[in-house]
Amino acid sequence: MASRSGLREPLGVQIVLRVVTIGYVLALVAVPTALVFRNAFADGVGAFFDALKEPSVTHAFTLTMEITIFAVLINLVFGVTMSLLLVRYEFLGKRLLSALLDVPLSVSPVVVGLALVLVYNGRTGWFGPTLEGWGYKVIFATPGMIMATVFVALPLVIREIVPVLSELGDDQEQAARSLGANGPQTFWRITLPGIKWAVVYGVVLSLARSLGEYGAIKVVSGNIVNQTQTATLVVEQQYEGFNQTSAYAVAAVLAFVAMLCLVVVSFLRPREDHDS
Amino acid sequence: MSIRVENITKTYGDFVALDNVSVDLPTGHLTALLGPSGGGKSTLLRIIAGLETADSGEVNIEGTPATHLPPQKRNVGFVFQHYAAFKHMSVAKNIAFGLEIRRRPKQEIKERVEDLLDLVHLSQFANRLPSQLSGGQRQRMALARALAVEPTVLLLDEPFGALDAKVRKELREWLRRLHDEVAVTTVFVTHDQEEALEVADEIVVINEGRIEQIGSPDVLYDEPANDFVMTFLGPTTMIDGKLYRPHDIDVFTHPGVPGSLPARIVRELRVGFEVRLTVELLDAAHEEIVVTVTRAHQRSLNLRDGIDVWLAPTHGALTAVAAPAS
Repeated sequence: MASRSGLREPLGVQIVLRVVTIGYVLALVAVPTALVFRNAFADGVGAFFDALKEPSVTHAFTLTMEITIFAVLINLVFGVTMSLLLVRYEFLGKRLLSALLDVPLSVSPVVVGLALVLVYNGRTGWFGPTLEGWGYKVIFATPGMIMATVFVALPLVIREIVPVLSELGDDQEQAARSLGANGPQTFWRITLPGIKWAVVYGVVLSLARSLGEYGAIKVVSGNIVNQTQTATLVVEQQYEGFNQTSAYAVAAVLAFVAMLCLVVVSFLRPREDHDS
Repeated sequence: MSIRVENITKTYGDFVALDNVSVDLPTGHLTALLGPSGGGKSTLLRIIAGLETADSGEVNIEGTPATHLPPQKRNVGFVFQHYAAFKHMSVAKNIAFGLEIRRRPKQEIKERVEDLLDLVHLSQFANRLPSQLSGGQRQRMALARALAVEPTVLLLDEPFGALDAKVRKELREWLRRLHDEVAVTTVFVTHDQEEALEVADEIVVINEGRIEQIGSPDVLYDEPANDFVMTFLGPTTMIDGKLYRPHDIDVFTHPGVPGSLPARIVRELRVGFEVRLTVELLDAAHEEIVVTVTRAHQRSLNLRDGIDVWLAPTHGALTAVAAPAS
């Protein structure tokens, strides 16, 4: 973008580029999303809220929230720890680990779900029968759904923090050490404040991603109404069942929350730049 | 002896940063570790601070074995070349950091921070963020921060390296005065021989992981242990396989001075009060060497391009035998 500074495209090219870009975004993103909202309110505001008050829908939202909160918290702790490990320490297999962390980005979530089922299912899985023997049901239950969500959203936090952490350098940490701070004190007082915007940004992104997860959840959950059905699964089932208003209402709520996340992020971005 | 370093060796892969180095750095002194980049001086400083671990050897600080102590238990103040300011904290908070870690009473911290702000002339900047300070101010803040915890030793790693020439000169004079005031054992790393000669009580010359010479600025300048020290501490010029300072060679416009060599001036370069003359020796090799005279001397003898002159080392001139060309 700025690499062409000083050079400006001719006016005609500029206009064509703008029209193509705007048309592209409108056709692919803006219009379809807007239509979801229009359809959600097609039968009036009352019908919209009635659809959301449906017990199976409220249950799905509660479950989605529960899974999202757990997944985000786990990804937060794990993501910060892994980022520190990747940036501040040298160890054998570091590049392999770094590459593995991107697997969730490239592999289809459905495959992730199947993989989890293979390992944790109660009958033939590697750990599943043992865990079920201890009373922990993983597949077709909340733990498995949290695991799937954690897996899918894992790289988002790490990929946000790692570049900020490397740019920050370890000068300040060394200074803190020489001033008498131990490891935890250095982390809480120096490192974390230095990367806080990256952490917040990563959390918001993984929050949006966790809310919208569908493929892996669908495989792992079993999609049992009022038990393991999340909001995205409700949308799919209601749509298939020709219950359009309900499907669009839930979809609109999901889209709204995700957009809210993006708005929050866009407010955070300039502050992050300003800080550095 | 305040800091005793014994038989320290440190390697990075094939590269030997420090090769069996031993040195005693006396209490209360201001010592410079001087040498070219990559010579091992910063590594030695970081090993003393505990920010780096030696492969072998011992470090002893004020009688306490420190070899295996983590940095936070060594009670050393460390000042980094690029300040390492805590960016999210105000100047006052930066300085208070070490005291807060030590859980000193609030009132005591407040008073100490005020004293230190005063000492480094930053009182009016107490509530600013480091990003709002100039480089020189940031480095003074870093110094106050390191001094706040009353360290046994103050270690400075190229403290003025990132500053422009004028600020650097001001700060090093200020550091000298500060040291006379605070009198904490101080070790600083520099590759600038002028800085070391001007500020330090004692200079340790380090090159290629080894100590070349230890001594006061006078001793180092007047009695360099070898040609490396002589070359590193100032300009040199070689006549007959011997190194001289360019200003320790007398220039005559007539022959007959015992031991003088005929030569011809081929270039002159005026830098302020001094004039650097490039002369070609009129012997078999026709080597070009540089001699320095004052502007007044040049004018009185009318030294200029193309004239013949005779060169002789000043009586009592310092020399070192040049190392055989490698």
